[in-house]
Amino acid sequence: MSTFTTTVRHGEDDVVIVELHGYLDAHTASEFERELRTIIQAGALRIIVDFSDLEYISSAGLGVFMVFIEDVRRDRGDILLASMRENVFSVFDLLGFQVLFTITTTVDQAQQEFRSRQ
Amino acid sequence: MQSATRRTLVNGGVQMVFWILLVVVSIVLHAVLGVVVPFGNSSDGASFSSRAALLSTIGLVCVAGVIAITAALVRSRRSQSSFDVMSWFLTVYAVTALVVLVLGALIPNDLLAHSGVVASVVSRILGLASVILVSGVVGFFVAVMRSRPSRRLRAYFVTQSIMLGAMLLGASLSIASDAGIPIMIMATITSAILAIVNAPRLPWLQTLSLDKKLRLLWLTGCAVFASVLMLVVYLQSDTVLALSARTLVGGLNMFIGVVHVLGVVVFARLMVSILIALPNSSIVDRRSLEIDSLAQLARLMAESASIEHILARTADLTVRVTQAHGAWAELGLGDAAKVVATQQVHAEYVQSLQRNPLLRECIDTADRAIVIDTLADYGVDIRSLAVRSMIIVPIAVDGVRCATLVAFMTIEYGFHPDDYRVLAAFGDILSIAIEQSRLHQSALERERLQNEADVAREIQTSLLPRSHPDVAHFDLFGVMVPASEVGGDYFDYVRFADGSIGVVIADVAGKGIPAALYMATLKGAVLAEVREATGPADLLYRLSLTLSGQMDKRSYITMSCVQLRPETSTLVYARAGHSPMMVRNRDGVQIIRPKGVAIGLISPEQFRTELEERHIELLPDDVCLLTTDGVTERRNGAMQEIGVATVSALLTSTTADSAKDLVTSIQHHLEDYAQGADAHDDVTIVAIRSTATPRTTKGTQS
Repeated sequence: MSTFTTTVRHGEDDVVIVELHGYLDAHTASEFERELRTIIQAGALRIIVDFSDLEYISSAGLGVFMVFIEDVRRDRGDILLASMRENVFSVFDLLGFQVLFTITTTVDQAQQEFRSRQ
Repeated sequence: MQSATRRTLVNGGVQMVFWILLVVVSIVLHAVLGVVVPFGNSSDGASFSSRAALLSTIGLVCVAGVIAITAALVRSRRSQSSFDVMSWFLTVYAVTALVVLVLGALIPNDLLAHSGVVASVVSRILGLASVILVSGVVGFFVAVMRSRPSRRLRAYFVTQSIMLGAMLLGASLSIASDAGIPIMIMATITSAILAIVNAPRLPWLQTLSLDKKLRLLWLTGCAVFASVLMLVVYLQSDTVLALSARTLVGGLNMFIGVVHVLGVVVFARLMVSILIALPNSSIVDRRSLEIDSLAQLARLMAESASIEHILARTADLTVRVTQAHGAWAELGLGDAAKVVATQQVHAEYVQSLQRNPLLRECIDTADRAIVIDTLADYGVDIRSLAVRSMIIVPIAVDGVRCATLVAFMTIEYGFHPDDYRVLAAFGDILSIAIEQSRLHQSALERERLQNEADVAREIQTSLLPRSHPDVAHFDLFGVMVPASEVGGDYFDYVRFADGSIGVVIADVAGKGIPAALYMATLKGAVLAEVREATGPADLLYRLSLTLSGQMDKRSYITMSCVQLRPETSTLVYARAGHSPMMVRNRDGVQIIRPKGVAIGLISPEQFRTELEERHIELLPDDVCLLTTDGVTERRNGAMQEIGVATVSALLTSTTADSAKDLVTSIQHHLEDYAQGADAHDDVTIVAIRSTATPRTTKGTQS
């Protein structure tokens, strides 16, 4: 079976960085959704999702980001997607996710993005 | 088998009726003789002798008859265990013998000295009772001997029968002359020696439980006591019973006496055997309990009961087999361990034990069954715990610990090595039972999913077009192959407001029935909106309007829409986040990717501003290929995707000259690539080939 794990670390200015590892597909999406919900309910508003170690994402995996984006933005926060591999980025790109989400090439750029918004 | 049983029964019945008749006839004859020749007159020696000889014959017939009856009775009971036959016989024998003895003792000795009807009747009743009793004893010996089938034993049986005959003969002869008595004594001694030498080893005795052995011992004791009394009473010539027997059949009292000598020998031998077998009773009891509990567990397994139920039963059996002071079973490890069954101990107490960190560690780190003779050895502070010794049995399925069985005693060194052995066996059975239970659950789940997948596939298939439209200057063909878990692909041919034909291809995010239901909603929306739609972008915008707010936040639809314009040999194409279209023309394969976001991601207004529409003019034989991501993401056994480049190379190289052949050829190539690996997603391919006559204008874009 595909494996999927996340690591959460705290960056500057109350930014929470969620690192994704492995395969995010229909089987692991609900697990990720649960974890992201826990993070957001704990009060995180500035979230950077680090895709550098994510090997694959399916349509169900993409759906998870859409669950929270509206609520986070209403609370003046945001979810930034950073450091995607080529194959993962092309999935986001094809769907037109860039209209909805800010996708940066590195986590640092995402941090800067948050800083510039302050 | 059944007919053999019936034959035995019929034979036994005929035999019994025959012998009963003989006995009745003898009794009647005897009664007549008894009336003709008055009882008690022994002065007439010649008449007494002849009468005695005659009665001896009648007695012989009686004896033979009852032997046969008893033998038949014992034989018909042979299907039961030896214990049942033996205890049944001993009970009947002891009770009858003691009743006869009590009767004999109650009747005053001088009653029989008087002649008269009362004396005559009493004497005959006692005499007949004695005959029946001794016949029963002899019959039982015969039956026991006959039930042993070896050839040597058959010889033994014949010899013993001859000895019995000799005893009988000696008893008969003893009336007339003293020569009978030595014969009788010789035969008795020989028979007794033979009985002792050939005494059966009685293997069934070893396997009896303690209470059965004690019951048998008590019965044998009664039988020995009764035989000794009988032997004493009948060998004395002046007792009421001996007199009655002798009067009924000459010398019968002697015969009964010597048979009881034999009886004392046999019963005493049996008693000794039981006494010898007594000490191993606890082991036998334990073994039978162990076997019984293992059998119970195996049965439970076959019923595929729930894991909790199996664990609860095992905890119960653990306490019963090991005599432990308490036992529990828990699922999981460490802090997640959940107590599912407790025996003779309160769950709260078990939880307090579990909280002890050292105990917890012992339980969690056990890689095989372990015996802890004294917890003090493990550094556990035993003052706070009532538990002193315990056995911990870890249960693993596929090498992964999943449960634990724990038995404990409140004394140190409470467990026997056998306890460890049997609990380890329980652990092995449990691990198999748990694995089986899980397999059962997953089989049920798989069946449910299979049903769900079937329903989803049915919905999906029913939404697909049944035929391909005829459009001037275009050749159209499409196919959708659902994955084992329906992926949400959909394609259809539509007619726009202006009457032009279009193709829609879509992929609903998600799988199974939810995806299939979204597809059904989508198809309904497409059919409703396309009547008013002026073109692909307009249709997609209308769909996003209709579907916005109707979809789950997680869900979205990617979709491509193509409108065919035969008059200009042009396609109008718009894309809502869907896999881009491939166009093959003279210059090779181009990937056309107009801007556009999937339906359901953003508001309809934003969606509309992001949407781009392109016009593609086709030359004859140019081909457009619409696919879903199931095509470009088709994987082989090594999980590698075929990729856009390979698919576009396929499109370049294919020699197929109709849309249908082209789609089929791509399908074949995909399957060749996958090498039998299951498709993760539905595969949908629609090809549009231009069949227009050559024109000179080049394709334009807007």
